[in-house]
Amino acid sequence: MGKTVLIVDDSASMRQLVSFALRDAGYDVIDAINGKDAMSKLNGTKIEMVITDLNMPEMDGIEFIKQVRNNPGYKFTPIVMLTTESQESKKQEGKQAGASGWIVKPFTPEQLIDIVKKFAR
Amino acid sequence: MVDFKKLYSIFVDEAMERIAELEDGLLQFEKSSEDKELLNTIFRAAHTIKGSSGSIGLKDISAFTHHMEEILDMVRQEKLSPDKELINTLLDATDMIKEMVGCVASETVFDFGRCEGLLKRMEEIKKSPESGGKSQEIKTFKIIFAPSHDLFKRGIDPAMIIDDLRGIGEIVSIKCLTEAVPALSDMNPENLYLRWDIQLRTDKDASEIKNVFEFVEEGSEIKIFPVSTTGKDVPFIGKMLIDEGVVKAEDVEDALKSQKRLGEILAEQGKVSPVNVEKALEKQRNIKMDSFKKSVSSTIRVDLGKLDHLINIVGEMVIIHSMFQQAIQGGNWLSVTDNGGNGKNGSLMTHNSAQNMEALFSQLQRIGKDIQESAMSLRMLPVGEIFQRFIRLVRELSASKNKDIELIITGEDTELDKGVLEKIADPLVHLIRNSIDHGIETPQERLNKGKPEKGTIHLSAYQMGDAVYIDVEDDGRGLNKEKIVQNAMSKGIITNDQGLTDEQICNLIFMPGFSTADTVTDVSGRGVGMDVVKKNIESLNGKVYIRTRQDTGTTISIKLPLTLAIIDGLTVLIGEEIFVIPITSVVESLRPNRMEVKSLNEKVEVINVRGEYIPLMRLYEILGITSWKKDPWDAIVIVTMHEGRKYGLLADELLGEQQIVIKNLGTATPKVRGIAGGTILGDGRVALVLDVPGIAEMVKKQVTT
Repeated sequence: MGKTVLIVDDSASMRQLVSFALRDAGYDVIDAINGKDAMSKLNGTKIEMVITDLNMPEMDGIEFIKQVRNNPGYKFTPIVMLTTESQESKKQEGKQAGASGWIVKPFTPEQLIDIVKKFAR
Repeated sequence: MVDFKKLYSIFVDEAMERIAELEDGLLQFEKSSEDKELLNTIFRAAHTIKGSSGSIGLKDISAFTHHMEEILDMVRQEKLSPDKELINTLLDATDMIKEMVGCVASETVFDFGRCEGLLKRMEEIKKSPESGGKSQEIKTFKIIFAPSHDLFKRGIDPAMIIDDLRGIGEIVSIKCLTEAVPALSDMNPENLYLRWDIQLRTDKDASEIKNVFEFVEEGSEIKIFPVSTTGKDVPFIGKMLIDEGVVKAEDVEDALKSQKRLGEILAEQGKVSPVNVEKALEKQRNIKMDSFKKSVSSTIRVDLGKLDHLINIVGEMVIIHSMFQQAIQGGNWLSVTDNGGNGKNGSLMTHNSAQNMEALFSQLQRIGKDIQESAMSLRMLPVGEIFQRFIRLVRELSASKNKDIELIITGEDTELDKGVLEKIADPLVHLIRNSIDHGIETPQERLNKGKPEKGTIHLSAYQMGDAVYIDVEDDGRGLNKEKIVQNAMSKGIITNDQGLTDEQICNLIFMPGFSTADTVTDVSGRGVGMDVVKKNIESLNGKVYIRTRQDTGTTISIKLPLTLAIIDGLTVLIGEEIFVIPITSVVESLRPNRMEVKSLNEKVEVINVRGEYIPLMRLYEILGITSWKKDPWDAIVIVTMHEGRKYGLLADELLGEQQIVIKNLGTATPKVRGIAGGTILGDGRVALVLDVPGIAEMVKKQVTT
């Protein structure tokens, strides 16, 4: 069975792009539309890695990262943020919250796969 | 013509800050030459000095700085590689600018003829062709990777980094360092304590290696430096010749070994006497020291947060003030109390006047204390202000002694009173020099002892209780107790070593006239020794401690009071006068019985305190005032301690303990023996503060004569 990656983004096209690229590379993908949705999908599922956007309605990425880190089952799970160049301060916030790394948007599928390979060992 | 003179002082302040940035920046850049942001900071500093000096008519400074700026720009564009020669030249140029600015400050004329040598050196550097940089040759890098403890908690596996390194080159060796792993009882299993020392052979340059660490950079310590095949610093020309294949690396090293210093050559040719060379060297060092001392200015930069806080409380005080007014006028007043945020912001209450006043008064008291604390904190500066300067000192002194020494600085955020900070720089220079000169062994000696070739000096500052500690710790040879005893005996400081504890032996090095160095060396050991260090620190109400172990190292620990101005004092009454004794020197107070007071002769009295005889000083006699209680058994004896000895001071009555602000007696009064200063007590009366060390000295004289 392949490794499972959770992608959290409110933009449907981004979710699709990421899912497509990752499935192509042999990963299983679960998607969620915001932090709240993601938390409910995370519950108990075995996940190798999380990729999350930062600006989302209901529960934003920072809060989501904090909650994931506070959940004993996902304390050490790699979390990669999707950021834009202009979000330097957000990036800092995310790191403080416990994110493992980041990908700067826009990215190519190859760049995405590289990062995922790196973290989802 | 516009008169620029008025602008000079502003320029000097700003330029000094930029110079400090330049210096710190260059020293750091030497270690992490891939740090583009740092390079930009350095460049901007030079650029600002050039611009501001030019705009107020200091054309020569501007022109000189322009050269530095050009070189830095070329480094930025990777047309030049920042080798040791380049950094050295820029550091020397920075010193030169410092002197120029110093001349502007003191309104003296700077001799720009002195710059010529440096200008030539800078020209040379600018002419040198693009070297190294982006070449595709395969190099070996040493990588120290000390990840932050919480790496696992951020979902990162350190093995990922090592895999990535494998992706860009060949890992020649990899060592896992376990020194930082704590004892099992202190270990948090979720923390990462391991560090790695990796040798990587790659055709990539350091910045590409650094990219691998992108996600773990924060909180981790990552050092990447090329391992040169020759292993030693080779001057630029030598490096070029080796690169071009004209000479072999070994030949250059041999040539370097036979190279002599200018002073030696001149002395050999009989042009100057070695004594003169030594004198000139001494002068050169003093110039360097002077420029070092000037680095603490008389203005102070205050953290904006601290200032805001102060303004905030002052605002509160103004409110209390108007509340007082209301309370006095009306009798009824409004009180705003917090009802726990349930929507009602406050309630209206009436009190009678006396109660009001009391409540207001206690608030005012609290605010007064806050203001005092806050105002004092404005004087507090991070010790980093002076610590940073030591990097340079260690770098230069260790090079001159052919030792490889690294200075590690921790706790640079620890704050100290500005007054203390200024006075602590000199003693620290002395201690660090001592470590470099006497403490740390030569690389060969160290290798023979099985120690790492590179010596370490650890300069750390930390706060513990109401004191700040500054430690200078080296991993050198440690104090040689036998040698100390021998030396102290030969100098007549002690007559025999009977009954001396290890601690007492170590403390012998603080005695005047003591110096263990067998020969006088360049760096230290010129007679003025540790006694001066101790005196300086004691004048700050501080203390010095030594911990040492043979072949393991020496730690000199300086304990300093948080501030000079406020002390805890014991107030005593003598006749009609109140005096304050600093509580740090008080051991106890007691009323002896008749039998416990004995006189040795007319002058000297002692009291028996539980079997220990200590000299008794009648304060009214020393101070020349009248007292009501002349008999010790009616009065009170305050036992004080100075330099490990106890002294009893006789006073009429003990009043209590309070915090006092010491004030200088001012220049109008001549220096009074036994008095350290004055203070205003809570009730507005003036009291004098006793100088216990001074009084102790007087006792010593009386006992011995």
